[in-house]
Amino acid sequence: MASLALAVALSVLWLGSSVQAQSTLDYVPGEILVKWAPGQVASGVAMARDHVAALTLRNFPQIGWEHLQIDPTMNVQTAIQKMLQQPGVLAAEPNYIVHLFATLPNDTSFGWQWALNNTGQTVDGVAGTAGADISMTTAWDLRTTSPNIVVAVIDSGITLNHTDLKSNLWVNPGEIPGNGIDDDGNGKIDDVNGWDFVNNDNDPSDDNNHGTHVSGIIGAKGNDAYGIAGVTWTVQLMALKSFNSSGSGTTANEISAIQYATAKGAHVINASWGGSGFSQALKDAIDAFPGIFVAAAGNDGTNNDLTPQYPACYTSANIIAVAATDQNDALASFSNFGTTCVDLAAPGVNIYSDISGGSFAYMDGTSMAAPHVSGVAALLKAQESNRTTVEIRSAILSNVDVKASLSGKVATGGRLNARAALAAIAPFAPTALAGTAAGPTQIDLTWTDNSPGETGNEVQRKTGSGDFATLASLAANSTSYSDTTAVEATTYTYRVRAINSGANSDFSSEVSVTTPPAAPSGLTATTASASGITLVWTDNSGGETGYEIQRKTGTGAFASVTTTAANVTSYSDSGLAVETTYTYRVRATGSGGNSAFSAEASATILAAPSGLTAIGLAASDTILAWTDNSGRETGYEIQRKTGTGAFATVTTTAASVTSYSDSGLAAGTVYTYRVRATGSGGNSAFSAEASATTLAVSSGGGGNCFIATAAFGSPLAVEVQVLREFRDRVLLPNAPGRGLVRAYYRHSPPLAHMIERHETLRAATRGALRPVLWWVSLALASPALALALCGGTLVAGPITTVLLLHARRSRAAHRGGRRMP
Amino acid sequence: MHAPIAVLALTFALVMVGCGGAAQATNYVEGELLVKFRAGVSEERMAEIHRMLGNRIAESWPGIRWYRVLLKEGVTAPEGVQQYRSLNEVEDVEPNFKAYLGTPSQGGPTQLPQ
Repeated sequence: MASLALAVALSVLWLGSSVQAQSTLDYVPGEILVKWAPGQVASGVAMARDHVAALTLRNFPQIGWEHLQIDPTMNVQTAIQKMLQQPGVLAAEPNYIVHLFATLPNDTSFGWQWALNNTGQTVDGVAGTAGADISMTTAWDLRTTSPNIVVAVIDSGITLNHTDLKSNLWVNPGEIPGNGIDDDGNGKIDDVNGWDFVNNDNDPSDDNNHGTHVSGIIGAKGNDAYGIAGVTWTVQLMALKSFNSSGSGTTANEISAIQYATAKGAHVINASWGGSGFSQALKDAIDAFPGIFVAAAGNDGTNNDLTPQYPACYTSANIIAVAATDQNDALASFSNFGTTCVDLAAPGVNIYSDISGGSFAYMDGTSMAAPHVSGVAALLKAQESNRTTVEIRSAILSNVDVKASLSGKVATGGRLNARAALAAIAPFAPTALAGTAAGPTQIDLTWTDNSPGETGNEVQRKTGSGDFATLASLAANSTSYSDTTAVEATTYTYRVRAINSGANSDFSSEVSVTTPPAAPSGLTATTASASGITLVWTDNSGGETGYEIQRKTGTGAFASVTTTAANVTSYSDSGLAVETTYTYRVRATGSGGNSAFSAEASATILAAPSGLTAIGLAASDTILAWTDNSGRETGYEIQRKTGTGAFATVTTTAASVTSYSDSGLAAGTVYTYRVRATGSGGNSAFSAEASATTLAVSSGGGGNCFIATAAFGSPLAVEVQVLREFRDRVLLPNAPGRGLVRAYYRHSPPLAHMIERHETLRAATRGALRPVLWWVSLALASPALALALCGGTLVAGPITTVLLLHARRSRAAHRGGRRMP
Repeated sequence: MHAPIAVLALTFALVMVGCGGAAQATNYVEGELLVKFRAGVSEERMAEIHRMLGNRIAESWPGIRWYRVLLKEGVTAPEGVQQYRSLNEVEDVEPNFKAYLGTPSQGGPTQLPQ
């Protein structure tokens, strides 16, 4: 009744308990833990917190940690990465959820399984001692199942239709059930769940109960609200019947069963049988089995070291020999022992498990102790399938609960502890960790995952001689990670380890990666002289070792021009050719590689204008003309000064303009000019300077065409405008024309003044200018035709005649001491 | 390799003496032996030996080079052991022992016969 009451109580408890998954890394969303550097000032802490919108939930000043609530829209990993970038933050990690250590299945008879959870309950009329169990409930916190592990039960068979077992039976993947064909070619037809070596048929059903009882201990379906829970809740039980209904078998049948298990890839064999006869054949078969072979020590209450029992006493490296303990951790009275032949003890008294007919029963014996070890071995193999048999055996034997009652009785002096054994199975460490800088703020890591059983991988990072801190917790089987929180021109060191529920692997070897500096930006190229271009850029890096400047012309390839020191942001390129477009790009150099290139920038050194001529036209006007030497200018800039004053820009023109009329000037003043071509990449050098002096008095003619203005009465007369256009378009652009214009303006004003005052002269002049106007108009419309028709005579003749006449009169007047009227 | 054979032979001899030749008391399967030939002995030679002795192979486990042999009618297991042991080609020979499940509450014997 006491047992029943306990079972009811446990059932109620189990209804409220959940089976904790062992493979997840749970943490509280919206919360992180941060460790601050010693002496971190409050303002710095506050600024760092602001990056994740954090509120302080708790402080742990003794250890320098703080519990923060983060922005609810931000995931925990992002918040951790942001915090790790803040100065003064030594470490940041999730607020992990810690599970209560005890996984209790809801199997209805679990309360009677004191071997798995001994609370001191009375079982089968015997009171136990709390804790005198194999710590199964805490082991289940780490792992409850081993679905890919095959445990061969060489025994009296298994009740194949037992509700507690049928879902955990091994199914031969190479055999099609019931087709009467030996599909897998092993000489056994329809060996679906195993084989009956006693009757040599394919029905390994149990006709004794022993094999079913053993199988239930190993792998009765767990947490299915029925019957008992096996040590492993899900497993593949291979039924190999080598013993008849009376529990008798032969060495030959045992060998056949072991060979079958070997051929079919079983990971564990449970051998709850034995005897005193040494069989080399049996030992050979055990030696040839690559998995764990768990043997019962025997039930004679004798010392196996003195009276060997086999297979327990074989020296095979894969054998674990098991003695039996009772509910109070005492060696069972019937159990054989031996500090050489027997490795450890496990519960073997009043063991409740499955039997034939779908029922349950208590049994005693080392036969019941051995399957506890077999079940644990299956869990260990599932935890890290690449662990060898020797490693699994060692994990079991090295993690027993040492008991005084077992001292001098078994080799380890202890009783099986499933939790400790499972926790000792660490995943294999990742290898071949490699890292590359994918940019100034990203480092890509790759590694080799050597562990099939890990539940995740942990990436740690440090800078300089600092401490490693967890950077990321990744899923199982991950083999790469991109650290996007890196800072440019910084060296980081990484390491990775595999983690699982029980233990973590060693760390991989470390790898250090230096990020390249940030690329420069804002590159400009400007013409600085007749052969130089100045580059300017923005330094975006705090850790570059210098800058490399590259240059190309046209569609050519870039070539390095020079490298500079760190923090330089300009460079003057010299010795360049005019009228050539140079394209530049710049990148920062660093110990971890170079940055990307800046955007390109181009500049062209324009050819300076030449042949600048300045002529004073009137009291307030000058006229400039120059030679355009560039095909790439966007215009011209005209600068002017008087006396020793400074040049100032008068105007800018469009491209290809070669003359300019300056007006609004002071009479009788010397003006000095210079001109330069302008362009998008800078301006050319200035032309040579040229000076002109405005006339002292007004000519009266206006429009600078003094004679024509006097003859036609207005500077706005069409004839005057035609002549002015001829002057600007035809004469001024060439040297002879400019000489002609200069001579005309020097001598024509007095003549114009005279013509202006005599109507007769005005009429005569108009008449004389008619052919000139005709020819000029023709020349403006078609210069070639004008030259062909007149050869210039019609133009040059009258003007030259007038000019010569005037000159002669002037000289006479000068000699006579009077001016011409 | 000879030490286990000697131990086995002694054990078996003791078994025979202890049992006084009473068939019903044997803890091995009468009329059967487990035989292992030395490495390098050909299949033909092994077959010849069995044939010469009037025996036949009932079962083989090539991976460990052991054979279960059915003895000629009238030959006991101890006699068969002696026959095979006298041959240089034989590495090991032993009876096909009976074995028992080991639960004291079940009442079955847990030891091989002495």
